[in-house]
Amino acid sequence: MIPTVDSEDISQVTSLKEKHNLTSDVRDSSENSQVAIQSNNRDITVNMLIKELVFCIALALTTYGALHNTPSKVSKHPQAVRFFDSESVVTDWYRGQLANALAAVNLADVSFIMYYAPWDAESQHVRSEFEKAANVLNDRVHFSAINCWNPGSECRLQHNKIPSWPILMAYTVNSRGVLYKGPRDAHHMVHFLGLVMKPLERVSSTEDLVNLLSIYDAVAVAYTPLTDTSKYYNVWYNVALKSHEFDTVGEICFAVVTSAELAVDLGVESLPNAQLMLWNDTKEFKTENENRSWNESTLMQWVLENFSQPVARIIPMWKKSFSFERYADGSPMLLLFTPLNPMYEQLPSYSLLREVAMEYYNCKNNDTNQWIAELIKLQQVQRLIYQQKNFYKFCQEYKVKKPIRKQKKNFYDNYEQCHLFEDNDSKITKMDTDKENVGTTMLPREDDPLSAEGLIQGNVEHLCRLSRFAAELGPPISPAKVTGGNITHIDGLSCTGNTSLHMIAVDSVQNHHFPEALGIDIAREKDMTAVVILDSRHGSQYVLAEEYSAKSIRDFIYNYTRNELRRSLRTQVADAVHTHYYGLNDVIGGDDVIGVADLTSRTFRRFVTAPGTVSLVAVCGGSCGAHASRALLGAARLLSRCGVPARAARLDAARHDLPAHLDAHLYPALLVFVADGSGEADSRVYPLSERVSSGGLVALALRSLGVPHHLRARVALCSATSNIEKKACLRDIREHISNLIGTNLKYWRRTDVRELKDSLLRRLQHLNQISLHLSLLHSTDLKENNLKQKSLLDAVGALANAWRIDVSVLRKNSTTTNRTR
Amino acid sequence: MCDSCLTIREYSKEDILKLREEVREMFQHAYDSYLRYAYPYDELRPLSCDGVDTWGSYSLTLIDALDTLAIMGNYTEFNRVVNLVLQKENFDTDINVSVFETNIRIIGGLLSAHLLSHRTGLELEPGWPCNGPLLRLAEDVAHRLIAAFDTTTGMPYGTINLRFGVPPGETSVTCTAGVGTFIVEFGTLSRLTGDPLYEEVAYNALKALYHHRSPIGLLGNHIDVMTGRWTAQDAGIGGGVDSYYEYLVKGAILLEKPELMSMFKEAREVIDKYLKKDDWFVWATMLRGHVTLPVFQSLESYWPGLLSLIGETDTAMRIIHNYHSVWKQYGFTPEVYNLGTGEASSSRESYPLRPELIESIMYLYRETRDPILLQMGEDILRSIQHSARTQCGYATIKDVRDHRKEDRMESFFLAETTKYLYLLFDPDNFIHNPGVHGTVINTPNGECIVDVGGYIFNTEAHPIDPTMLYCCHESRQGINISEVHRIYQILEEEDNIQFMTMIDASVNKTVNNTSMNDNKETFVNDSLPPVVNQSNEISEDEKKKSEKDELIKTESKTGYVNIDGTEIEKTKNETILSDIVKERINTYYEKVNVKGEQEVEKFYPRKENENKVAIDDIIVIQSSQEAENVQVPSTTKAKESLKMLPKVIQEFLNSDWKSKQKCEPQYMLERIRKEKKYPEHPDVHKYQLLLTPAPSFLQRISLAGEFLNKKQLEL
Repeated sequence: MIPTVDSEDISQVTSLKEKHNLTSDVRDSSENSQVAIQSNNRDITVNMLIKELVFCIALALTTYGALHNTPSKVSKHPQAVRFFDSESVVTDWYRGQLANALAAVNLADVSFIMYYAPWDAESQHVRSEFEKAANVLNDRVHFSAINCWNPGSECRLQHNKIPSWPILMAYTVNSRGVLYKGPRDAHHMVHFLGLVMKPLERVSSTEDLVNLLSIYDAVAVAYTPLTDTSKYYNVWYNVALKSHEFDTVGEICFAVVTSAELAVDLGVESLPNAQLMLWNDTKEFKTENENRSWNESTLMQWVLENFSQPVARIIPMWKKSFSFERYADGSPMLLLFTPLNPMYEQLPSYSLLREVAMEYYNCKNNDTNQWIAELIKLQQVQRLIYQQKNFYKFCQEYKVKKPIRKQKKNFYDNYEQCHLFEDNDSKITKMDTDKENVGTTMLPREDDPLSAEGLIQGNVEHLCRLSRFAAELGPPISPAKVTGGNITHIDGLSCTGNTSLHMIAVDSVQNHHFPEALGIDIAREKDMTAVVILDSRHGSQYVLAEEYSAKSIRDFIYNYTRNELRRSLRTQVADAVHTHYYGLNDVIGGDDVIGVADLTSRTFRRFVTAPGTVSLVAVCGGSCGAHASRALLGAARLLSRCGVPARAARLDAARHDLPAHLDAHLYPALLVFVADGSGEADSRVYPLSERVSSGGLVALALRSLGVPHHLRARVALCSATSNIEKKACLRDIREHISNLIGTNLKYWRRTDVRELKDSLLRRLQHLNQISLHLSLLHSTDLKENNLKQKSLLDAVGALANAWRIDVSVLRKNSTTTNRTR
Repeated sequence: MCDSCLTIREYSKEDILKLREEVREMFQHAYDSYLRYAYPYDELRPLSCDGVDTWGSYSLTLIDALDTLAIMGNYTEFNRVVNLVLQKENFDTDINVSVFETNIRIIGGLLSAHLLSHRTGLELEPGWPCNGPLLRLAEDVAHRLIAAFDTTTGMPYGTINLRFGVPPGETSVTCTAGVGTFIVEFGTLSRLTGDPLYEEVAYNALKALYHHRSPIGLLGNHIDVMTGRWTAQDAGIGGGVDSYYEYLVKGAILLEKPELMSMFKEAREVIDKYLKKDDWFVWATMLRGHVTLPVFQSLESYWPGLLSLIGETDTAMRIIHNYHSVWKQYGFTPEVYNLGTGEASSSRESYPLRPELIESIMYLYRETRDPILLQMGEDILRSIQHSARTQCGYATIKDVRDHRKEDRMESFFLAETTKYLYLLFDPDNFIHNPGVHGTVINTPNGECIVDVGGYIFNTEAHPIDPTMLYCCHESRQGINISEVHRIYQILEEEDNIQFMTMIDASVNKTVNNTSMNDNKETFVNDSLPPVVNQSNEISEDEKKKSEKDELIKTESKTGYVNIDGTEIEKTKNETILSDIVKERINTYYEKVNVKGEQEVEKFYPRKENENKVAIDDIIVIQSSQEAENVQVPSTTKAKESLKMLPKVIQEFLNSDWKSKQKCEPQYMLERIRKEKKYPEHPDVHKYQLLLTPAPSFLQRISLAGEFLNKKQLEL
């Protein structure tokens, strides 16, 4: 007795607890969770019941008390463990010791911190990239990682609401930190840290400025003469630093003119001042008349608002974003997919498109026409010089320990600004000469890393290390050389048509999925470079067939504007490594497994125009539904059994484009093709409002085949059915024939074209013949070698010869759509 | 654990397979632990390493996990467990169970195991798939649940006793999902066994819900099945409602019922209007649509997967990015996430290893193959591996904010979460067959083509092959001859109209105009038997009139062009002609549809009569039906008075109730058919509703989280 009550009581208590925890949802709906409470109570008497009641209360109290003290088992939160290896160059504060971590940050000039959550997949992934970056830069940057999730830890208490992990922050001695929002791979991180370490370019001559303009999409210059406090300069420095939160790859070059004389030379009158030099315009930061003051936020806002570039560089961040939105305004888009390695100072294939774009947009009526034309030339020269440089060779030779200075001098003859150690070099050269004259107690130059020589050497080594690191991601890419033929000029072409192209560049190494989704097997393209035009208005895309070069890209744009391009059909990149496919595996199984041909844009035409068969094609978006596939297979089998060779196929319209006239708006679209032997195929679509069934598909196929074929197959079909249905089946055919006679009579009456009347008459004669034979046919005659059936089929054969009607007689008077039967 | 292994963000085929094997290991760990520590209890307790009965005592986890074994290819274990399950002859035990849970987990599990057993080499009974021990077992359970539907509204009770039917004192309040989540399993059961009872009862419950929608079209989340009064009037798409919408779509596809899709599309419009805020879905009052609770529930995550089934992947992707952002914040999705504060609700902060998010990811990846979805999948895998794994199984996360574990592993972890994860990482699984091959099986009904892909998962992730239903239900000796004839005639008529138009265009203009109408008339007479009623004729006359007007217009145009030049004339003429053809074909179709509907209307009552007669012949007196009708409400009254007494006494007083009258399913079915409480849905034959829209052109660069806004896509 007692144990029963006891266990029951507990189960009641637990079930009550559940009720409390889990309310009003389906899975756990509380009224559903009462389980096995009423069990064997049926036979007990009232007497026992009262006893039980007493027990019950007593036990309920005790168990409740007991359970109250130890609620159902709950484990502790996961214990913090090391996230990075103990040997790693990254300092791992895995218990979330924020104060300690920040203390370490304060000791370093530049530090890069990763706030992670140990369970987070992205953090786990970034861990290795972070470490890679640390291995490259750890002599210049302090790398730390903090577990900022660990419950109860210092970091968690301070930063309680981190929406997504990990958070990467770069700190410099005098900044509040720059949030890194770029791609989370080692190369982008290293490049970003380079920008953080040296956010400003110093302009000491007009040539410097010209040089920067020829390299970057835009240059923001501030004119801040050095004063005692350097207040203006500091503000500008911070703006430059902060700008990399938004511009992680350094598309805008921040430069500074610190000499008042040069500022005057450059036409700047009031100081401080800032200019944003764009490809087609120069914006002035006006402090006086627009009530703006020289502070970080207004400057930042000003730069970001005014920035524009001829070719937009889109870096998909792999989270919800709308980067393409601005460019999808109905105008066509030109997309360049090419490796945009952040570590290289210049990207010739990108620069080429930029030149082309500037040319394309450079309309004659513009005031800045001249300026743009010159800038294009400048950039072109810059690009050609850069393409000839060979860092790899330089670094190799450097290792051989030739006299450093000479070597470098040569190198610098054609090596321009906005580069890591140009300034250092010239400064150091001067200092060197001074030092030799004075003679000090300094340590001998050899073995001293802080000596001038040592610093230069260290710098070069660093540069070489970076360029080796850059090469890991991919070699420098430059567009193909133009060997022969005139280059088409496309100056101002954008103004000639109604719409102009938007030009966009996307990295093809990390975002190869984009070209692959457009049906371009980017990994196999030379240099992983491809150009596509997407014309959303006409729903077509064009792919540059030739190799990407100054000539081919211009021709491509030119031909597009003149509508001379051929639409290219997107097709599944079958063996693209990363966008793999559902269902391409070979079918394994016994004889009872039957296949459906899986068509692509390429195989589609050949399949449907194959003579002698009827092709049933299901056009599905993604995978086909069960009922459509079943109907398709069933229809093909049935047709084959009735003597009509038929093949079933499917096409995934989400990966494969069809010729424009076959575009479907609803999936699955079921099409039947009857090849006429001349390489063309007549197609017919399944009526949308009808239920998809094999019967319907058979009817569609028979209809496309023409009446004589249809009759033959229908007879065969009737003989294939069960005896009960044979009668009905024959009745259907008879009804059909009389309908046919009716309609043809109607045609005959209506038309007044002589030839047509004649051929209709011939038709009618044969149809009457068939009708006669059919009425003689009994359902038991539907077997092989039956005479009645044979004569019927002969009559059908005779009809086949007379059936064809030349509709061109009708077309003489008026034209209409193509099909007649 | 997996701290040493690196997360992969870019996946080669090998990486995918590595992840797949990790999921398999995950399943195996939990499954083995269940067998070792918990079987034959319902669930494993992963912290205390023992078992516990939760939803019934029918070894729930074992049955629920059965088809996961088949999907992962562990056929020997599948066969072993099937034999283990089959040792149970029926579910005749005196326990109270949730109708909803038993249906989706037990019936769903048994049905899918039954349908999958041809792959695993299990010995099949003759007549499979329309016959078999697992099917019989599933029917046995369904038969025990059917009594719950014996209510005044046709909507089921929430709880039932497997032996004795609806327990006394049982509340008549059921959640919306508990009413509308039967059509997939019951439809399958009916079509496989041939007994229409289950499908009709489930369909009736769905119609009842639809009938009780608010004036603006929303549904609340709890309803009194006796009075049809909404007891909880918050409308949303999450807990309490979720699978109702899910089953409208899945039922429509599985059973080819366009009216269900129509119901869903209607509901969806309202949901988008009142509940959708910035790609989140909130809760609102069902009467006015005023927002009451701005929260996201973990259970809502099924929605994007559902949208992908109706071809709206772009919208689905936007939504899933939102849902995934919650996952990124906590590592799990809390049961309730407050959208206002951006934090997990402090009272509903657990994560019982729910599958909905991964389910949607799986569906969407299958459709879009967007690699970002693999990353989302891996995020889920890593979090579970890191924080939910225990010595013996995987534990519910009690608090997503600090990842404490609770001593429970729901059976859907093995049935759904691991299954969907596995399927995400197994692109070549037979489940994903996009329709590139099928299997021919021979049944007493003749030859059937099955296994062509397009499996429909019930809400507990039990896959059902729609072709098997067709096989047992409709496939008559291969082919439906009358269907061939019917469609052929439709197509022929289309062609006739075209040819006629062509001829007409060639003859004299004035003759053309009049004769056209003649033709029309004759044609109408041809195609429509004298059934046409007056109103129809009027509308047709009007149509004809307008047509005439238009024709005259076009004529004047051609005349004008004739003077101008020949070149232009041709093209113009052509477009006009094809327009005429289109128009005529459209009017033809309208007529056909009218005809079809009329036929249905005409035949329907007759059928009813026949049926009634037939059943009256077999089954006794009609008075019992009436008695039953009266009796149902009276029991509720009794119940209410009973509720006031203490529980033990209630039970005592009711000790003899179990021997009393039981629900007789056939009577109930008869009553439902006779009462016809809920009108037939007008879209019964609109098969076009089952088609999915093609994506717009620019959607091809909508990848890896990049979106364009709606208007741009439509350009």
